[in-house]
Amino acid sequence: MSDIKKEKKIVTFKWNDQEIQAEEGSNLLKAALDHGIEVAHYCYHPGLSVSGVCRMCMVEQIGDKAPPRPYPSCNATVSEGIHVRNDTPKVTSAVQSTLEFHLVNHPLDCTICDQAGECKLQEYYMEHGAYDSSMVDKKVHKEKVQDIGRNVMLDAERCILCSRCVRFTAEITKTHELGILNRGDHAEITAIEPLKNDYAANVVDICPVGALTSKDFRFNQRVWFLEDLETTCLGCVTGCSVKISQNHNGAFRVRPREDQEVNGYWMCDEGREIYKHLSSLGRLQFPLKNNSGLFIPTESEQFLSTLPRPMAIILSTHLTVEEYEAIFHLIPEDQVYFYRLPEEGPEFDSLLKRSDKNANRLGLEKSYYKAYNNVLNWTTKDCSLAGAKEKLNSVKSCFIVVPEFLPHFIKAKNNFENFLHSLPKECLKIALAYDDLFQGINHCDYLLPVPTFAEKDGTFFNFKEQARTLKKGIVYSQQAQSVPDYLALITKTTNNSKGFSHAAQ
Amino acid sequence: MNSNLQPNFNYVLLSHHHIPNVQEIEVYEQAEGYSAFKKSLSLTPDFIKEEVKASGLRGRGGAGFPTGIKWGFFSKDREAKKYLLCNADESEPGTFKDRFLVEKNPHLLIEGMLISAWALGTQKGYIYIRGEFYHQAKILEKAITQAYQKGYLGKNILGKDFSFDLYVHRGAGAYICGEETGMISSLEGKKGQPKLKPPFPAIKGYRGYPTMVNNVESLAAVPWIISFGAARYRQWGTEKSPGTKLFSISGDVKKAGVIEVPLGTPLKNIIEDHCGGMREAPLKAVIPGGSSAPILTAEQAYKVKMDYEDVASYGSMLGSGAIIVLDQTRSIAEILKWTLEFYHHESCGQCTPCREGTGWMEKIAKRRPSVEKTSTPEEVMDLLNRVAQNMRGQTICALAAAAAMPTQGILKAFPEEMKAYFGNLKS
Amino acid sequence: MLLNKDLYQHHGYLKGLYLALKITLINLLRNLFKKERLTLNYPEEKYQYSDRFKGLHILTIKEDGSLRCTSCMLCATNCPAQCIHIVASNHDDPSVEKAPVSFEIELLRCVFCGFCAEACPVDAIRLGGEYELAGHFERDWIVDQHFLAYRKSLNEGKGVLSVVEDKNRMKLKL
Repeated sequence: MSDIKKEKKIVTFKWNDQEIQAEEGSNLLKAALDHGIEVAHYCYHPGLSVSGVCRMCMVEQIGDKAPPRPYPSCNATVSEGIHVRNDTPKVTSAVQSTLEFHLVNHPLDCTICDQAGECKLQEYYMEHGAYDSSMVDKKVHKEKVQDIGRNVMLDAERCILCSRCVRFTAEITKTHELGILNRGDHAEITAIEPLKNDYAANVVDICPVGALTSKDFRFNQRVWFLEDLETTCLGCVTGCSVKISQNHNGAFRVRPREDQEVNGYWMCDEGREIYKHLSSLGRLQFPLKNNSGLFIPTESEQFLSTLPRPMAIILSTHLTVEEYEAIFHLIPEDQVYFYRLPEEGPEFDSLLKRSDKNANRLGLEKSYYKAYNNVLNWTTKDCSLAGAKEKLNSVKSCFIVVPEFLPHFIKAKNNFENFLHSLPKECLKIALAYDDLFQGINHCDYLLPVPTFAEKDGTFFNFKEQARTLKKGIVYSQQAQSVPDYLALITKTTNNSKGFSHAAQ
Repeated sequence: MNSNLQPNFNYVLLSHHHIPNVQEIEVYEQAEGYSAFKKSLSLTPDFIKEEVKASGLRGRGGAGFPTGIKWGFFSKDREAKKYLLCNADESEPGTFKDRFLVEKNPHLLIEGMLISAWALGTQKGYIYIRGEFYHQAKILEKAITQAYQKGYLGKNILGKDFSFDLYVHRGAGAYICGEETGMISSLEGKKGQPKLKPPFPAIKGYRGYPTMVNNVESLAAVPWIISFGAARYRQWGTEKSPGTKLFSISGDVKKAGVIEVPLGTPLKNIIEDHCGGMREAPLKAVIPGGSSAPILTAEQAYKVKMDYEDVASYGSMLGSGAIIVLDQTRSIAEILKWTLEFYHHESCGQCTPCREGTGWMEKIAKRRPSVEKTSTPEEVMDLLNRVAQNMRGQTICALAAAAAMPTQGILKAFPEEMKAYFGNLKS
Repeated sequence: MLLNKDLYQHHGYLKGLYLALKITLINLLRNLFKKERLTLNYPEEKYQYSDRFKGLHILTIKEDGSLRCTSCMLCATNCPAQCIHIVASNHDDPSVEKAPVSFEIELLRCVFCGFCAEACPVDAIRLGGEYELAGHFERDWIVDQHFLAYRKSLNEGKGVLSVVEDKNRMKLKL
């Protein structure tokens, strides 16, 4: 995650028959993995210190200065001209025998283990193992099904003691909740105290086997039924790169993607919740009208063409840059307002999370300036503040874009309901929402379904003003249309590009 | 002068052991104690290192690596922070020579460490002694206090620009803390688990500083070498294994104990002359270098000479010089089971081949055939041999090899007995 | 009747007809005067299929009566008709850990190929000998685990015991 680019010498070395160029002194295993070579390994992780305990990444060096026997490549550095091989008979038999040692006490849990399908033991067995087991003796038993807090389940028996999780809690979060008790084959991972840090779910990702699993995801799906959607988290301005595992039945989990400029290899626990609203039962499938507390389906084109003027739109800060540009193209500046989420938590928790939850604020400010040639003045435009709200007193119909992830923001949840309540009673409130689960829904007269962040392509700018993309995944609401599309419908019906300000012809 | 109070320099290590109360510093000083140290202060560090190298002294902890060459790898920067560690963990089963040395003559070790510290330029030294040696640790601490009082330790020793602080640190019952990086981890206050090498302790050891780790016996031999010179040290032993060694003999001999003999002494002489011969039954097998050394049959035992090369030529190793003598009444299978139980208990559990392999080997050796058991004795022995072979060369430290070698040794040396054992297991 | 040209030219019409129908006529006469008929008087007489016959699915049970299935979903993955739907959940007993809360098969989609039985690692699903599955309503063919494991025809509702027991799971050679 370092921004400093050191000038290091690039040297060439050989792995099997492939020539690789890498920085001198960098980790040998990492150089090989980065160039697409498949090397079996468990305990090495590029974001953690080198541990060298699994003994799987063995290589044999060829040449006259070579050490006498194979050594683990994770503890070696790149230097000019070395030639290492991991396809010699010595190494392949070493890998197979080490894999056998890993499996000797491993329980037969594949059927009930969530890691099946992405388990490194399974993968390496199919590739390097494929032997007949000679273990007919009693296996060592340890405590299973332990809830160690923060949505993490520990199964000590499945653990292969690679110590990745221990190193994570020691080096990354520096909270030291996990440790290894006992020695020998009675050694087991344990939670010295229940997990309390905000990044605890990362240990589930880095565990190569099913010892640490997510309570949230537990038994919901088999991973081979899932596809990964590479997108970005909109939980705060940091904008970590994530991937959402989903299929036509729904979205099931979020995992971080490697992004050295933003989040390295990790993400915070709050961001893990961002998949829940994608396929929830509350997703709006068609436009709804509030009929004295009961919401009934309606036609959007009909009522959109007969809305009373003047109109205003209150946008959230989660739309993409493309959507903002389209909206600002359609609507004059004096009718555009925003709902800015209040800050939550410390400004920066020294790892990833930031208090500014308005994910695309910087992108919004950029598009605003580009469209209106004015710097966005939050005091006059932010409807969560009293000053801006006064301006809405004369508005007759108002589009409100419901912020995404609203239920996750503790302060904002109630704040938003109060905001909706405080809008003038005569004003027709049309909420552009993705589900009907937000508080204050009863104050709205119409609900229009919009796509979530995982159902549209787009760009947004993170806290460092770097562009990050959202990708369109599986759509869970067929009739959802984006905000610009609805606004385009209005301008279409009025035959006027600035249709908001003029009455219907 | 009572000749009883004078040292016998025909011995390198046990020179003062016949003198009563030699653990008191006054008695030691009167018996020419600390004279080697005083002499070394007038010699240059490089000269001392050369002398030790020329003597051919080999590490007495078990590895047998030439001490002088090991010292040569060490940093020569005298301003840099460096440490000298004495490995008194002595957990190899069968070994009790360091204990014998330290409890009778602690000042010899202190003197040896002082000379080494002067030569290597280390400012602090630790004696890591195993936790079970409570009594011996107390003796050492008392001797160190006396040395401080007399000005042999601390700042500006004997008026020279040389300071050395020495501490005793007790272990807590782990064989793995006798491995040099395991010992360093334990001293640092962490779990006694060996570290990855490279980086080697001589470059980056205790707390990241250059650290020299030597065995008690190696350090205790240094004063004699400085006093009398490398050439005289070489009068004993062989070309490649010069000098004398302490052997701790246990088992079915009439007189067990610790002896100091030149390297190259035939094992037959040790058993029959020094130990008074076998107790009752005739010899069956000898383990020559602690439990990690592959076993020797009686036939081999009567031919082997106790030096590093000759023992290695029989497929075993001299190791720490712990000789365990077994007579015909002993069951080799029991020896195997006990050995594997020990290594299973002592594995630190860090790296997979050792952690799982030691446990598995113990289970295989203790297998009871169940009703459906179909493996033949040959298959079980093959499996045990294969598991042992797979553990070697794959691990962070040598404990896995130390568990594998005796297993393979026993299977090779006594195949008939082991076959009978595995075939006759009662369910 | 049309005859093979060769037969007609070589033998003439009537003889050719006789040669062509010879085997059929012999069998006709044989069957007319045989005591045992090939025809089964279904439903009074039913054909005895072998043990390998692939009919209606059976979900086996463990010794304590609960479903053997661990909801690993290998059968659902392997099914070429994608007709098995399983919902897994936590089980209170930590030695069991995972159990299906719902196991449904859409019998109308099922092709009775037996891939599910092949895929199952714990002998939880088998294809049994029942083949009389006719009915009226489409909903009758979406069957759940109560039907699949505990219907009357399986040991009077007690279910069929699986050969895989957890106690022996650790010692099984896979």
